[in-house]
Amino acid sequence: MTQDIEDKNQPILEIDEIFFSYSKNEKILSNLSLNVNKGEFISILGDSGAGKTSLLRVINGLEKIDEGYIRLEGQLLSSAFYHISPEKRSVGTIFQDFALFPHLNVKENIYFGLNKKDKYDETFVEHIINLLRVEKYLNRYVDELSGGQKQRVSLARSLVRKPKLLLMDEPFSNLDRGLRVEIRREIKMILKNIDTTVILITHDSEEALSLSDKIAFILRGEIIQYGTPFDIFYNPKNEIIAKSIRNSNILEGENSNGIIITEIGKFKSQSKFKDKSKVKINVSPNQLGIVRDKKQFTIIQKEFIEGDYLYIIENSDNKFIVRMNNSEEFFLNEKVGVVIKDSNVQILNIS
Amino acid sequence: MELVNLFFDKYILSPMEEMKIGSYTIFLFSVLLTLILLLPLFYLIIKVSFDFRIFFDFLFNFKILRLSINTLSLVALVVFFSIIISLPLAFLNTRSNLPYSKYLISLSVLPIALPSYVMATTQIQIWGPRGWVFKLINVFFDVDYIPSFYGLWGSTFVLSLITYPYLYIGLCAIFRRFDYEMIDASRTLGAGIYKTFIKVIFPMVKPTIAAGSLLIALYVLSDFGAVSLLRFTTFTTAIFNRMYTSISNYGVLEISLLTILFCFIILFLESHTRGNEKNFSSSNLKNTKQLDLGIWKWILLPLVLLPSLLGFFIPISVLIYWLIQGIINNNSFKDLFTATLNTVSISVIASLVITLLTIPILITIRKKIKYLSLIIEKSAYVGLSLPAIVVAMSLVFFTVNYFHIAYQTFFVLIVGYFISFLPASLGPIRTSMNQINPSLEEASLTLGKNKFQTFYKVIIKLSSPSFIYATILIFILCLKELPATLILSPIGFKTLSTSIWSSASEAFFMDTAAASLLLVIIAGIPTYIFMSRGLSKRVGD
Repeated sequence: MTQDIEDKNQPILEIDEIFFSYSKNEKILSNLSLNVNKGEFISILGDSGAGKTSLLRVINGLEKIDEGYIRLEGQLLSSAFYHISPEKRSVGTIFQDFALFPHLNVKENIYFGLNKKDKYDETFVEHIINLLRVEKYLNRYVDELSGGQKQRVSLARSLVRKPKLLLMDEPFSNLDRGLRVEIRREIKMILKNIDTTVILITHDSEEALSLSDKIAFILRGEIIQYGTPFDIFYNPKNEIIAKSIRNSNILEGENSNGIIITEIGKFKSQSKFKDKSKVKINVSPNQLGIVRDKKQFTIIQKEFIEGDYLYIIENSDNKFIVRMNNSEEFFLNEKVGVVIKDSNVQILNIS
Repeated sequence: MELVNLFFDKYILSPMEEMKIGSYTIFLFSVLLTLILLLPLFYLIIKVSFDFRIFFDFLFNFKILRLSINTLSLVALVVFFSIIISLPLAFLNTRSNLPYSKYLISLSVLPIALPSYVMATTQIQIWGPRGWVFKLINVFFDVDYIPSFYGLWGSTFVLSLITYPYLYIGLCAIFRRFDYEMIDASRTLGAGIYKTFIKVIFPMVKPTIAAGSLLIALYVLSDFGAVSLLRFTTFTTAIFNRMYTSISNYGVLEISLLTILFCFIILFLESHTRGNEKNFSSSNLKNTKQLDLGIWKWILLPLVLLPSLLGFFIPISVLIYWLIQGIINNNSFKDLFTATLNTVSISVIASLVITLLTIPILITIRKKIKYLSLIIEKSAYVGLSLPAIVVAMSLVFFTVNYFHIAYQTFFVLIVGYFISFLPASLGPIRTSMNQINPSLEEASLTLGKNKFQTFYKVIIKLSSPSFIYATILIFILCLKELPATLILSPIGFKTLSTSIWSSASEAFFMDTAAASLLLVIIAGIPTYIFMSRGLSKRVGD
């Protein structure tokens, strides 16, 4: 058992202070480090242009790095002077548009990466085909498949090669919303089932939070926070992560012994900052409420989300997002006041 | 097919990767091929008089100016009319509810099967003085003169009919994959039909038009048969006349150099109008929405039929008429069988060899090695622009002087075809390869296939329709080729084109009818089957 735990904590992928750029002026990845343990499902989360896809391309070897090291199971894959070509890395990739070969049928696509002379495990291939439920359309061509079917074929094609690491580049963004959630769950289960280590690239925080064991938040080519979904959700390191992970209100206030005094009232922080200073805090929409007896704010937007009303209220100085459940309904353009329902907050790093 | 794959894997692709010399071998091989392509240029440089005073005196005189204007106006007019014919033709045949469009698509390609000298002789029979049109008019009216068919306009007419299919085929392929929703989107954004055409349709077909026009311009620049029969003086006829009528060959090299200069100007223009080659195709092939022509379809149908009628069926009728006349006059056909066999076998071999040789050149071009890739790509076009007679002369010169064992062998003949026709296969294959989604190549690499295996299993396999197209195109070009075949083939090796020429040049058209018909049929069948139907559907998809 202990052996097993130790094995799990051994990083399978080590990315060590890598730098990568397409041209001299522009650094795409800079001083980026990341360790991934065996069997983990990691999401790389960030806005478009943050360097997510470039990170994926240096891991699978489609791009060469300028500095640093990338190792898989301890074996060096990339450094400034060394580069193992993509076909010799045991790294599978699922492309955003699936990249299925249109001149081959489903079966030929799945067997594409297998060589007869290497004596692959036929029962494993069949196992994958059954697991992904693609056996019914093995003879079909790619343009006869639906989005979800293409997704599964593309996954099967990579998995039959037993990759040590599977990379997925926004694999669900091309699917319909309803289908997306369903396929996402199914694929997560399949990947756990065969104990695959996965790195998922996404800009969808909901996707990252629901699927991952850990999330790496990438900004301008650097990983600025790496932690569990719980950690990232409740303790975002800074304003950018907080805002991108969920609807957040970032407030400024004076900190004195863990009590933060803001314009709309007092908040408490578990981490007691001794010195008196200006801090930023992250207040979720659930922690605030609106009332009719004060009239400082105007409701400028109203959304109905998963059974609750989300109101955006503003006055000349501030703008807040407030989530209200089981309460009376407020109306657009109504004058309201804001109250604190839950005062426990996290202080953000000022950056 | 499985066997071919296994063979490639075991004996070619894997060893190449293991030895780590694959890239260098291919690279060196394509450099060698490029040197061969440039042989005519080297020849001209060696032979040209380096007395610059004479050289410039020669270039800047009235005759040369006249010659240049003639050649350039012919090139410009033929390109212009080819676009005018093929653009609406391709659109109507592929994306409208025109009746019989299934057949019209293929029929419209057929004029490509006619050699320019056959097209010219038959058209002269129709439009020339005392021709069929003249006789027809005389049935109703009493005229004793119709405007002359000889000269610039006749040559434009004949060459436009032969060359428009080069553009038409590419346009059909583009329109087949055209995403009609883009037109709908443009219309809903407030753009009228005219603005939609200028802003949406034209930019998408522009690269195809540029590539097709390039091929046509170079074809016209090097054509000999049509202009000489239609008595229009261009660079080619000037070169030919000087070679055969003057002892000193004075001016041949200068005019040839001028032709190459024009070729580079055309290449320059083409690369500047082509813009970025992007994949505009929609992946959804079910997108087959068609333009409803309404009552107009019955008005447009005869117009759409016109190019194939004028460019194929009427010339064929003339040939059949001559054949019947010949049979009445008891002409003999005894040499025909050997000539046919010779023509087909040399053309098949040459087209296969040339298409295969395209592969290493394309690999080097795709590698984007600074300058070198560009030089290789551009030098491929030198041969197409040069009159085949110059290509042939240069090969005679090099074989006689340095490589006598190859003189007047099939090897040299195939090298001659290679220099002349490589771009005809390079262009379409490259376009088709550029349209392959780059993530397919990357997917193959991440699935454990090395660069060579990926190139073979993904790039070549996906662009295989364009390989078929290129092979057939070169097959047809070799079938029809005349000057190089005349000069380079082994003594006594008679082909259909050489036997047609030996009679046509002496105006014994009737004797050539059988050979011409055979040639057109041999070229026409693959044209009809492959060039349009299967092809426009599959190239690049």
